[in-house]
Amino acid sequence: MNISSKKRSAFLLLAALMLLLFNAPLLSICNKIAFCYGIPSLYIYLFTTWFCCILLLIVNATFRNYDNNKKP
Amino acid sequence: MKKVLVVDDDPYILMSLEFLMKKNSYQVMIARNGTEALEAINVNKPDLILLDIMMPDVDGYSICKHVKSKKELKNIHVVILSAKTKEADIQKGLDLGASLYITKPFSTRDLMKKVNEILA
Amino acid sequence: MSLFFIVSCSIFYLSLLFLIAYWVEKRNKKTTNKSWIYALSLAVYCTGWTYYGSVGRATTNGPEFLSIYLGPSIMCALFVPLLRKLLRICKTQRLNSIADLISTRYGKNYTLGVIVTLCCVIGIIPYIALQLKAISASFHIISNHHSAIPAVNWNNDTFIIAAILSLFIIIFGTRSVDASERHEGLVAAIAFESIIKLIAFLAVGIFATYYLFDGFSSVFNAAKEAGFDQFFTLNKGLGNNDWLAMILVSMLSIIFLPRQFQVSVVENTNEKNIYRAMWLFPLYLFLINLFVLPIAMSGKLLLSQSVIADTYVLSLPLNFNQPLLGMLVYIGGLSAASGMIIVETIALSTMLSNHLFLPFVFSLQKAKLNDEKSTVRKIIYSRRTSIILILLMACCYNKWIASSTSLVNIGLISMAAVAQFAPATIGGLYSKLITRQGAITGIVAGFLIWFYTIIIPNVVDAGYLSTDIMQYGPFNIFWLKPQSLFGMSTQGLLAHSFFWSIFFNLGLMILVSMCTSATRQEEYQAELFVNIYKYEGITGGPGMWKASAYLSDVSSLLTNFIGKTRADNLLSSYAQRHKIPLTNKEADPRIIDFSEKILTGVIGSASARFLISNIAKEEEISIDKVLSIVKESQQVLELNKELKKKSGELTKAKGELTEVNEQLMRLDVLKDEFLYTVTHELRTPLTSIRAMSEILCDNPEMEEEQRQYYLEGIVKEIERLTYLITQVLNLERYESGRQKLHYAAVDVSLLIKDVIGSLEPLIKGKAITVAFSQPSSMILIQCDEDMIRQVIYNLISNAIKFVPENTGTINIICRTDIDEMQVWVSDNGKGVPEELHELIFDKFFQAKNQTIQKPSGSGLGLAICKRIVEMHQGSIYVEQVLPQGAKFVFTLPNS
Repeated sequence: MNISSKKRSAFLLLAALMLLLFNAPLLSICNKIAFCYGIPSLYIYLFTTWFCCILLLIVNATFRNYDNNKKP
Repeated sequence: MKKVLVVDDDPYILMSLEFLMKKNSYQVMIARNGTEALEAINVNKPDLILLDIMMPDVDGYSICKHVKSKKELKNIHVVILSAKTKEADIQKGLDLGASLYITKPFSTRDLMKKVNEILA
Repeated sequence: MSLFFIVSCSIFYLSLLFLIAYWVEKRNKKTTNKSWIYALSLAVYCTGWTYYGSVGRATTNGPEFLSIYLGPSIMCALFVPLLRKLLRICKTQRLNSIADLISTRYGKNYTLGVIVTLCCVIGIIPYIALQLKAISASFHIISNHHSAIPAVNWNNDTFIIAAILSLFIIIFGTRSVDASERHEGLVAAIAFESIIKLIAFLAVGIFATYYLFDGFSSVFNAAKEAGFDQFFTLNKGLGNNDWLAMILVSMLSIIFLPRQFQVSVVENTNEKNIYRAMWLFPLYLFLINLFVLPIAMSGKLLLSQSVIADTYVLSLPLNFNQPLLGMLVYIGGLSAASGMIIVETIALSTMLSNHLFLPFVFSLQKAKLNDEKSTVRKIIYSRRTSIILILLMACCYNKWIASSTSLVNIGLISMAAVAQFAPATIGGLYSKLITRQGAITGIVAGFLIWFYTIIIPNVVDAGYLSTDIMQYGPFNIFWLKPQSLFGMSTQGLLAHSFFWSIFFNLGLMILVSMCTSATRQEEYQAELFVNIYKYEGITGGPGMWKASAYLSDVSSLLTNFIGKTRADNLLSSYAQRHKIPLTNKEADPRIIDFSEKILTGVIGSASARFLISNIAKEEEISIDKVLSIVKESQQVLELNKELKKKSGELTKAKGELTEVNEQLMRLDVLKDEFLYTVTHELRTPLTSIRAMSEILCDNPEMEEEQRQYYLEGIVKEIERLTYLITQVLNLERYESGRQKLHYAAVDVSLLIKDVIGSLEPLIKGKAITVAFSQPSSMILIQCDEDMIRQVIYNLISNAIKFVPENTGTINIICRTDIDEMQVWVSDNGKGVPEELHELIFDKFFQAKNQTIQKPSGSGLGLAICKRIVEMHQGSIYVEQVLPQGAKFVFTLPNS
């Protein structure tokens, strides 16, 4: 049951994306004292992005099927 | 004089059968389709029907069924002449009360012999 | 709260853990869904430091603490490329610690194992100490919560806690000598603890956010008004790169911390479990961090300044008179800290015992190894001693060093220490070029720099060293100042240390690797590590051993370590699996290799190799030879796969044949029906001919005129018969594709008029009207004239047959557009019922529907039309016309 390199590179890309999302240039946009519905922007950004990444992980780990010869 | 009704949609067959019946001194009526046949049966009550199965309007089986289901027509002899040669078709005809089922093409001599026997 | 109540609760909770561990070990192992347990056990990452320390850190640094949990979440995405490979390697080689992994990769090298073990111990002991301290501190706060600063000396009870925990670890962690065997009970207990600490933390979070305040925005608002701006932004973390460094360090730590390696690799039961863990674990981290900031703000806003921020989690419920919630929080903290201590101690003790103590013991007592019981006892005692030693060291650290050092960063410091294993491990997984010397140099250099840049400043802070070194550098060499090495001064403490340690680690590793060459053993391991997926399926591949050991020696060696029954069982089942005779005096190389792997599981690869080399008078075969043997097995495996594929193809071919056969049978039935239809059609003219000729024959006296009429009839019927036979033959020819089309430009209007002309007698005979609407211009179509004529003839003659006498009307329209030419033939006959629109073009149609409709003509006319039109790439269909009648349309393409 060798997993396809497609799946492997999908996860590599996902990790790279997360590294980008959670680091300096992007993060500094929200790194200021600003509020959205009474909640700090940085707090909102970090947690929503984090949650979306977890959703992506779920989708990639559980539902997406990269191996054509395997059952979905 | 016994009455014979010939039912067929092919003009040549009809013509030949009419000729044969007349020659054997029967009174002949002809019908070119099912509707004409039913009318002739109800009006003239023949003693014997030479019946083709496949006709454009009413098929021979229905006519046979009609004849055998009516009390006053029950005694009419039905002889089926058909190009349908399958065992199941033959059986169906006999089950409906036909006296004979003769497959086409047939020998006119045999046919006459059998008709004479039935009407004797 | 009474001391008795707290102590009994703690003991009750620990007993519960014992019970869970015990129960899971007893019950049937197959029934539990281990992927959940696996994912939850990874949450041993969240220690007491997370539980109490995050809030403390958030109070000063705002959301910065999140980086420690974002890193692992990112690493989860790399589980498939990285962790999976590690798992595969550790399983096939039965490796049971990070030290074992690294030493095996570089030729089962002793030195590396020792170095990694020492680094781990030095790096991790303070971390364990911190957990012990967290337990004892929380105990004091809950037992006497009014005094904000505990008065009692904490160190005595850390000893008691350490003692209780070491008992638990010894019972459940050292039951079997085989360290590569899983501790399922223990892992279940850890997973349970993960749930408890999450529940407790969420409870206090909800309490702080929704009970003390009115939800998130209200807490944030209060903090904003009080001017606590530090909660809302990363004040300096982003600028000085500490944020990035923390993310990277925590990413690596999720694999390389001994406890994480233990739960994620050693205790893993199924490779597929990682697919659940890779999202469940980040989700866990997400949840446990959701309330950290609100708790920190509530604590800062509502509690007095004298309360230490690290204890807010516990102090909040206690100060607001929620003793039961306080108790839950205390238990949660106990979970977090004890879980970490347990797993970390087991992992460290295995390393310590296998890489430091046992090799020493074995080399001293080479001769005495043949006593089974004493060997097993030695291993177990060695491991137990290690456990006690580790916890003792942690206690001592607390007593003499920790009390004066700032503890906030200890978790990060430990993580930065184990991150030093990353270059050698990851490099070794993906490249064959890294050598043993490179790995050693890299790890040592990285670790020394780590020590110098992170530990020394702490030691100076604690007052054990003069502050001069911080200000002026050692011996007044300014560019060696621990916090600004080579003059790099703008970085945060962690970023600075991480950068330089990894820089030297990686750089020296590569540099030294390029200058040295690998031994054969190393090359072999490198091949096995890097290309692990390639050798999948080859169990018991050839080891490095050439047969020259006695089987009795091998089996007695195994017996010494795992007991007679197990050794015999393992050997015989292995021999059976690989069809190796156990009767020979000399052991098969595969048996030796297998035994080495078993021993590796018990005592680590280096010691196992050492012991095996004692009994096997080996002659190391060249790496090329080993690899060629491996490749041979690979080829056999591929051959096998090929054969399987072939057999699969055969099965498929068989299926296809069956299908074709069925299709043929279906066609056969159709053919029969067709034949029946045809013979049936032939019977009618034959009947007339026979009847008429018999009449002619039997009646010589017939009138001349009548005789003539009969003869004409016979001739006509014979013509009909001939026509029928031609039609059948034509159809057969069109269907088989043997008919060639003779294309020519044909004027369709002319053709239609021609056909109408030839049908004139029939039209007159029935007294019907045929109208042809001629197009304004000539329509020229490329087609086979004779065949299209046949189509038009069939359609018009059909229409003639079906329209009533006298009133019958047939309309023929010919029209053309860009793509195609259309011919419509509509009549006012009976029409064709909707359900028969497709069927009437079927050559078997009349056979199936004989009883309802007498066929006119051959009954094949429409089938022939359809065939011809299709041969011309056109189409033919019938439509209903209102109020009555049918419209037949056929089209031919214009080009």
